Amino acid sequence: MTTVREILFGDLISGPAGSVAQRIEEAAERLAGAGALPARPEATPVYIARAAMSKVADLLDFEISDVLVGAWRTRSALLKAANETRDKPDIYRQVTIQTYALGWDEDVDVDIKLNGSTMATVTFALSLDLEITALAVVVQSGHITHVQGGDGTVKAALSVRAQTPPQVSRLLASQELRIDLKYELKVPGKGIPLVAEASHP
Amino acid sequence: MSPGRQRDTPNRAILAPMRSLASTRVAALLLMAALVLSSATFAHVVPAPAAYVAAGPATYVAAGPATYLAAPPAPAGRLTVHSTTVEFGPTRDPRLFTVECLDGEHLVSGGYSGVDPSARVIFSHPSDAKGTPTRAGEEPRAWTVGVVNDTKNVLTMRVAAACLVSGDVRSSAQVVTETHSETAFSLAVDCPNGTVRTGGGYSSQWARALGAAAVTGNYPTPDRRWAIDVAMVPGDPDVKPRATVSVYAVCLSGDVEVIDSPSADLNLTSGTPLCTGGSAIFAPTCAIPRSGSQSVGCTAEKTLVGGGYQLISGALPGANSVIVDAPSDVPSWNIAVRGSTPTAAPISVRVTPMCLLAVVAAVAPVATAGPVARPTDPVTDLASGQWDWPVVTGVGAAVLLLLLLALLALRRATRRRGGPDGQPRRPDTSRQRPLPQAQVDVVVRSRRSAYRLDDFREVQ
Repeated sequence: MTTVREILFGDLISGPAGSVAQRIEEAAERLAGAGALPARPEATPVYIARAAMSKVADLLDFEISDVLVGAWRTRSALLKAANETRDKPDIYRQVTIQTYALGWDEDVDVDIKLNGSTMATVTFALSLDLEITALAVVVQSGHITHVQGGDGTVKAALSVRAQTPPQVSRLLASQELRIDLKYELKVPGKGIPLVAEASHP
Repeated sequence: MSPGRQRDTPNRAILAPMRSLASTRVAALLLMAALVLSSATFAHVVPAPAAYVAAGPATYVAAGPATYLAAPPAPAGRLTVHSTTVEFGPTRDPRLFTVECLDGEHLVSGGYSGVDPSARVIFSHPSDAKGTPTRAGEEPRAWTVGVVNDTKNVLTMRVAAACLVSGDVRSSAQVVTETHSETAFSLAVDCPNGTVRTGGGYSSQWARALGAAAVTGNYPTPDRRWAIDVAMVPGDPDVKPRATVSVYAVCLSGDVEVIDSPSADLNLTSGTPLCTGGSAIFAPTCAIPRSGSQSVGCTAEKTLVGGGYQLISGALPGANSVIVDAPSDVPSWNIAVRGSTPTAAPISVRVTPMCLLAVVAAVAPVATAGPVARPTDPVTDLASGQWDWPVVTGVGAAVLLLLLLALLALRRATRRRGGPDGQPRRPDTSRQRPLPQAQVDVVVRSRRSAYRLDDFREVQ
């Protein structure tokens, strides 16, 4: 169950000691070098950028599977199967998809305050591109009840934009990772709901 | 415990205070020796070349056949400082501000003051009335300062041009331009023979991605040149920093001489450290505010025409921490530095005024016939004098060694006087106050997310 933070900055637990902090530090240096953060005598841009990147790293701590399931709920053969089985607990569909690709963007506007006073407003923009191949799942009563196979790649990119002059835009970090759906999608006992108000299988 | 060691214990108890006392005395003796040696070194100023001796505050005597006198001392003219206070809002490219000299005045130097450390002063140089940098050999008419404001606030700054009211002189500029990619480098420019440098400045080609050249020193050198020290501030991390930087000297011709300019050292003070509390990822870090200002001037018979600053120890507290480098109406040359550093390491900046004296040719009693000649070899005109560097280095090393030995002896003595059981005394942490914190908050205002529906692709 990989998080977006792990994709961009590495695995905090199993990765080499300090590697996550190192990657976030590099992103902080890029952020400081972007010119979006003004210098203050008591706080240099790198100093402020570290605080900002700490916050952003926290915000990126969500699982990639949430984005994937959200996409299936929006438009997919799985959604069609879910609607077909929603009120018919005695039937199920085995869905196979050769390729499923999607893009997802998130913008986070943050105020950076020094001693209570807003010194900069910046937007952190996250962009995700997923491509899943050889997906095979079982859908029953509007839920994914079993993941038989599927893997793919996730490309993640984090950039910053300054909302106030000087207008700047800078890529802070980008990474690509292979994922295995059997690992990413942990199916609870009741299954993963794909449609609203679906009765449990 | 062995019997031998048992026997030794009483002796050690008796001898320990004596040894401690002896160590203290040794340390004191070593310290005195170091002080005597260092004062002897500092008294050892090598006299200026015999052909050009400053025999008094304002008298030059040539030992050769030609004689070069300045007697009685006469001011070289009157300095007028023209200045204007400007406002500038957020800008990605440098904003230029120019202050002109009036007709009949000669530009000798200039600078800026009152600038917020958040702003970056990119240029400070002699120019024409439109702000175009003066080319080599041309007469400058104005002083121009270029600044970039990365904040979202409107900032202010005072731009000053120092102009000499004198009919007997002419000013011209000299320029050296070089491209560098080192993290730190220096540039210097000469004034032609027969002229004296009165001030200097700098400019650099501005390209944010390539990085910025931050000037960390802008000063006269003892060999009659004007120099700048530059530190590279990286721009885009993916682009190798590179900067094309120019150093300018304003050179004055006429019967004038820059002489005996007494410098003063500015030692930056440290404020209360400001620390962040750290986070799950980053350890706490502290920033120590550093600041200081220094004004230097000239004696009554001389005319202040310019000034400069040079870092002599430590590192400036920020690439744009020199917030004042300008003349005032007093007249004096003012330098102010404000910024922050991670440690309280000493930072010292030498501030040097440029003092101008009118030179009147006269005939010395013993002079043989011949034209009055001005010395052409590079001769220092800064008050720090010339040093016999091999002697200074040797004696300096000896002083350093003695000081080190004194410190070691003192440390041993302190340890022996330590705790009741002979253990080193532990530092008393009970009186240490918690450090105040500079609070950086990152507040999420809004989050927006959406699937790119056009990018959906499904193949069954």
